[in-house]
Amino acid sequence: MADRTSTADSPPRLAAAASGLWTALVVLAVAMVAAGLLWPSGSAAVEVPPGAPQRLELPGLNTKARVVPIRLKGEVLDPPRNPREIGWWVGSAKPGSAQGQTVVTGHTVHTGGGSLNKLDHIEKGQEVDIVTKDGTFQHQVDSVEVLSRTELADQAQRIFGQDHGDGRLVIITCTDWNGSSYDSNIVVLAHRFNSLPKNKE
Amino acid sequence: MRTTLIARGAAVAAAAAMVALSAAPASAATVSQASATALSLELAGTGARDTGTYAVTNDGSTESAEGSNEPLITALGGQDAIHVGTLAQDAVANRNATSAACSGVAGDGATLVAAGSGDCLSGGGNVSLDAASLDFSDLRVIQSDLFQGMDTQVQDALKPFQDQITAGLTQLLAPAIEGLDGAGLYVDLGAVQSSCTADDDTASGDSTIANSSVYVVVPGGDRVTLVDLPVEPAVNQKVVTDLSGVTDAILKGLRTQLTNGLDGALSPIDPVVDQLQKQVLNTLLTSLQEQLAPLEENVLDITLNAQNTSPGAITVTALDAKVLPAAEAFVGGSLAHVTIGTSSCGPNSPAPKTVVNNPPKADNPPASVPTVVTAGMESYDDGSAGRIALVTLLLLAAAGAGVATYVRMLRRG
Repeated sequence: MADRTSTADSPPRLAAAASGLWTALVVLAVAMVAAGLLWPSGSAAVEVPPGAPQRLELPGLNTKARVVPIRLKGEVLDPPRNPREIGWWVGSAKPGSAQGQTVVTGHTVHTGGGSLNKLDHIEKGQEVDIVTKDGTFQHQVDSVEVLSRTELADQAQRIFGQDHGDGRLVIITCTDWNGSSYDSNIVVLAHRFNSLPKNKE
Repeated sequence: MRTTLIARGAAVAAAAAMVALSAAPASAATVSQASATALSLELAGTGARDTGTYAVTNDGSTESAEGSNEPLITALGGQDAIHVGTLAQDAVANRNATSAACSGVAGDGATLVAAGSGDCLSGGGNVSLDAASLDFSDLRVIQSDLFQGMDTQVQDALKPFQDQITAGLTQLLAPAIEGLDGAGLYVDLGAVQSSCTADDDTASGDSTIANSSVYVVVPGGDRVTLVDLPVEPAVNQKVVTDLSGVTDAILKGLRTQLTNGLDGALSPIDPVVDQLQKQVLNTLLTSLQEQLAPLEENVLDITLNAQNTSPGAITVTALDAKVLPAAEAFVGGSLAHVTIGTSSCGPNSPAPKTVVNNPPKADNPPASVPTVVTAGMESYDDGSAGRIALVTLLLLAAAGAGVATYVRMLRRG
């Protein structure tokens, strides 16, 4: 008699157990997804080491350009001969450095085609990215200044000096075409707010 | 008492020496240094030629440079080994006791990059280095060997014909050897370069060899690649080159030519010609093979990524190749030794920090930052305007021709 009762109760018990297991699995899955979203992943803490820049990207200006190292000739910083390229002054900090400032410069070409022809349209708050072999450093524009040749020379230590700057980015090109040459420089200063390792890009 | 006086005198002298040493100018010391030489050739008979060395030093406040960091291939005049290509040699020495250098050679069209970030050159085509011409004019028919191993009776029977056979072979060999003139040994170079960096403690360097190989051009213009050089060579990697493949090709060619020629030379002694021909030819070719034996050994002694280190300093040479003495009998031409891309960094040491009371204030401290940025151009011609104009003209011409044909057809109709 007892056997009959037990046999009769088995299907509802099994169904209840299966239902309970199913519910537990669903709750666990939801909890794991939520934890994955909320819990910071370990790889986010991976830092991109400082490195020579390979590419400059100005998403707001739809501009991307290859970066090559350049050197100072006396006190003159001359961008690469190819106006489509950007020059990184090797005497300045590498992108990602904790100290100094990364200085890059590119040509503005009056008839068009220069790597930084659109720089006079950049605005405060826009994003500027520097790509190295190990990842991307994201910057946000803090200021856009137009300085005469004399003003630039007077403020050279502030703009290019390597004893300050905590790794900020300095982008510079020419502006104010007077019909035969350029009268001023446009100087963009941007601070780094994030870095993306290469495999996370 | 006397001892005390001597001790006091010594103490005073030591103190005076310390004061004198501390007063010596700290700026005289070299804080950092580096140098680079793109190409060096040692030429048989006419001596060495190189692109000069670009050397920089920094005394803690300013960088001084000697030589040129814009070398020209035309400066290597009076040699036939290399005529075109892009040379690079650059170096930097910084105030913070770091230095860097890079140097190398690439084909025309390569882009030069400043020292400090590894490579000096990017892109560009290949350039050929004429390492040596091959000279086989010393090959000889050795008469005493020709009839060795033959039956005594046969040798006796052949005696009247020996001079005739030997003269025939010598006559046949001379034009065949002449035909080998023009064989040359070349090194085909992509971008071959070295770079180094040093700080106040350590120095390191590396070399890259892109698309490079050693080859022989045999008569007729065929190119036989002897060895492809590795792109990223290990430190002091040796590369072996021998000409065994070339020797085989030469002997094969000679066998064919001599066989055809001997048919005529030996016709007066027709009854034994086949056996004799085989015997004489084999003996001759064996003799020639022995004479060519030095070519089976290494012809070029090549070391890639040669590194010479000392504490805090390094010298890296991307490619160092010598024509070995073993092959000298067959290797003519001008080149005896070539080095490509020699970069040296360090040793560096930080400038000693001195405490100076009330340092004088400089009115105009030397600028180490840019004060002028020349980042503007009026126009840039990359050739596209010309191409667009040409295409436009062609389109206009085509349209004109089309319209003319159309009108002509209408009139005929």
